[in-house]
Amino acid sequence: MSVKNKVERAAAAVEAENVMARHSYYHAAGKHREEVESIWTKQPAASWTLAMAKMWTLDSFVKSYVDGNDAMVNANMRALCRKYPEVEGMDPHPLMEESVHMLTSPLIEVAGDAQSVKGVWYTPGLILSTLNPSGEKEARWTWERYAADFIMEDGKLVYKNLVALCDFAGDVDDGDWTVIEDNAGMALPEVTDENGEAVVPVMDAVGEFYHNYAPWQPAQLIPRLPTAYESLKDTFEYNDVVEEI
Amino acid sequence: MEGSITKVSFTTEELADRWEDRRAIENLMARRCYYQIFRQSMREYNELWCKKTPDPALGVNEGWYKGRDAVEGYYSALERLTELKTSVAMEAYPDKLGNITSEKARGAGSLPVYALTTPVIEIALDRNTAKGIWMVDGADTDLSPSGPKNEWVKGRVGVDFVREDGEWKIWRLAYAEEVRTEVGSSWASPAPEREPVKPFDRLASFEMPKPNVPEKLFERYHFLRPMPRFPEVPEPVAEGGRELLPGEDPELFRKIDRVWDVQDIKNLMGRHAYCFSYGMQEREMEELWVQKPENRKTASFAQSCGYQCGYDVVYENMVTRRYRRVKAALAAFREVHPEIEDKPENYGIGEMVMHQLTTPVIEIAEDGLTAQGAWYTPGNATFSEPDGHVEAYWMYERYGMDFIKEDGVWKIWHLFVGTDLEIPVGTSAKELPVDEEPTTYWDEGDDGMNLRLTHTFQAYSSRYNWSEYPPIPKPYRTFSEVTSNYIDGNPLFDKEAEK
Repeated sequence: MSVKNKVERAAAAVEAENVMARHSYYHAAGKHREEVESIWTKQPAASWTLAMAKMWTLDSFVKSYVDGNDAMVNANMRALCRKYPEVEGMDPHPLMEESVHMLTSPLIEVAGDAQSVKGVWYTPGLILSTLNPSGEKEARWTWERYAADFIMEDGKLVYKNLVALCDFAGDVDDGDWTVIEDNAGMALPEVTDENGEAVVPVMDAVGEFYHNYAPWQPAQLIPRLPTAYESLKDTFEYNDVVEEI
Repeated sequence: MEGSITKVSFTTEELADRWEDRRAIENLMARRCYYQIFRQSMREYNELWCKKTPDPALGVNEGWYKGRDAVEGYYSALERLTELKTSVAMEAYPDKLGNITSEKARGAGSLPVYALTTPVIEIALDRNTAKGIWMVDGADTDLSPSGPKNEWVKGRVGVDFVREDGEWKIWRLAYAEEVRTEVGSSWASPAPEREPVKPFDRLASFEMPKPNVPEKLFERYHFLRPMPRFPEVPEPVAEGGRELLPGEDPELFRKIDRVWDVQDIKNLMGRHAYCFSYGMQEREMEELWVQKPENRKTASFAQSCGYQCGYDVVYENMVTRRYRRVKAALAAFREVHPEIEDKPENYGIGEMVMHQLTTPVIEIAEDGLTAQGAWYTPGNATFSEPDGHVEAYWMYERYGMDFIKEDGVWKIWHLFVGTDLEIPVGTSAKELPVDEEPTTYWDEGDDGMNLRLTHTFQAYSSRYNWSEYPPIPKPYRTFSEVTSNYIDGNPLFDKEAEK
């Protein structure tokens, strides 16, 4: 391996960690459109996989993650304005909630050709909101597994695939996820537009692709952990729930 | 950091190789975390532990498993325990697991997450050994004799690594568990043990092998415990400052130099977190913060309640006033518990502070003189009183940081901490008022021990959920272009009123 290659691989791994964390902060700020514009691929082959839904193309990902989020943000804003008129005119995105998926335990592999990076993280996350239509402060833990593929596009490292799988969720600090009714995990949100009509999120597939914790749930060897690889075309991609072998 | 630091000039390739060592070690520890989640204890031992180097050792609070047989024995017992738990789950939930094999049901009911944060990693000059420390942000959900149970687990893990046949392996690992408490209760007032129930009571008869070198390696938190300083934080092995060597490609050198800038800053922030946890604020101020007079003037430490501007003020709060406070607290403890010795090691008795570092975004300025960083910190803070009263809090906070290079070494320049959520452990967030005053941490008035702010105002609020301040760093050329984490960058600071 040349010195140039070694250096480029090192720089790509460092950048992958930054890009991954930028996602967390964009998401926490509710700014999904900015996120997609700045740190996602422009190619049609992009994916987002959750425990209960999959988006297989950039188009469906944008419709779900950006347009679907905007629908939720606007619905939240309408309700919030009724409860707290002071927020009228403010940017509705940061007001949605502060959903912080903290990143820990990074396992990062850079392709031998330095053109892609694969990574797995564990996220002991917190979804916090002070101003809510309910008038109550709300905080909820959500512990999840993340896996991602990043590709080099025009000299910049961007997301190609992202997998987020919830192990458990529970209210701060009185949730008990060993009681299954309390461990809702991630669920598809119910959103209505300004006319009260249901906004159906765009998903390429809806189902149960990963299981929340349950006392009878066997260990799930998911996601498959990355190992050294030469090029993304020679290995698996995180465009689905990929089980460890 | 006396005496042990060597001045070395690494080539670009050596820097890249040493960085690869660091990545491999972080990956090794992450694999350990995921193998635990996957309930693959023997895989953890077989793949990740050294097999040729003498004297491997695994430390837990109650002592050491020393030697290969003892370490392997520990992991094979874990494997047997997983098999037993699987069989108990199959008996307890026949409608869910009755139609599958024990192999397919493996690990049912067990989800041990020991997430790793706050790394400080140092590679030896000869690249044959390395040292690292992490904090553990854990939630251990498992089957117990009383049925399914979930516990919060917080701790630290210190590791010596060794290279065997070109691959990094764990050589000696010490896990210091600070707290283990049932979810919904607090380590300040733990929930009572629940009675065993069938068929889970079969688990009560299983015993893990005891450490073959029993000793009180680490005490879990209790209200009379001095602040811990274990495991030790690895020291830097080579002095900062990298230089382009004759004949080297300047572009490649610049690129790897930036990579190492990021790693140095991660280590610097990790050291900050451990100094705070270990009550070593004096060392933090003297070794980790800016020292040049022109930078000391503009150093700052800010929290939601306001700013401390100027190194001397930060030092006074962090070191001098804290010293008086913990000394006075120890005196109060000694009145009730005269057996406690009056010695500096006992300052901070009954305190436990863990601000774990996650989600880093680090940007080095193009001019290489400054850097900005953002972290999210899931923390906990615990304080006790001589009568045994303990208060424990979850602390969820954002860090906005500016760093500046002094003689080739990164230093903390501006540290901004915005508190999103501070809540007693075991309390529902719904019980908190929507509008809270920012915590001032110490009493009003100046008794020489409380916090002295140069600017008192609400410098951060999560009232409107996500706050645009502190900034999430973006690539930048020079510091004058960015929103500073010093007071003048804070949109809530009223400069006109200040005049």
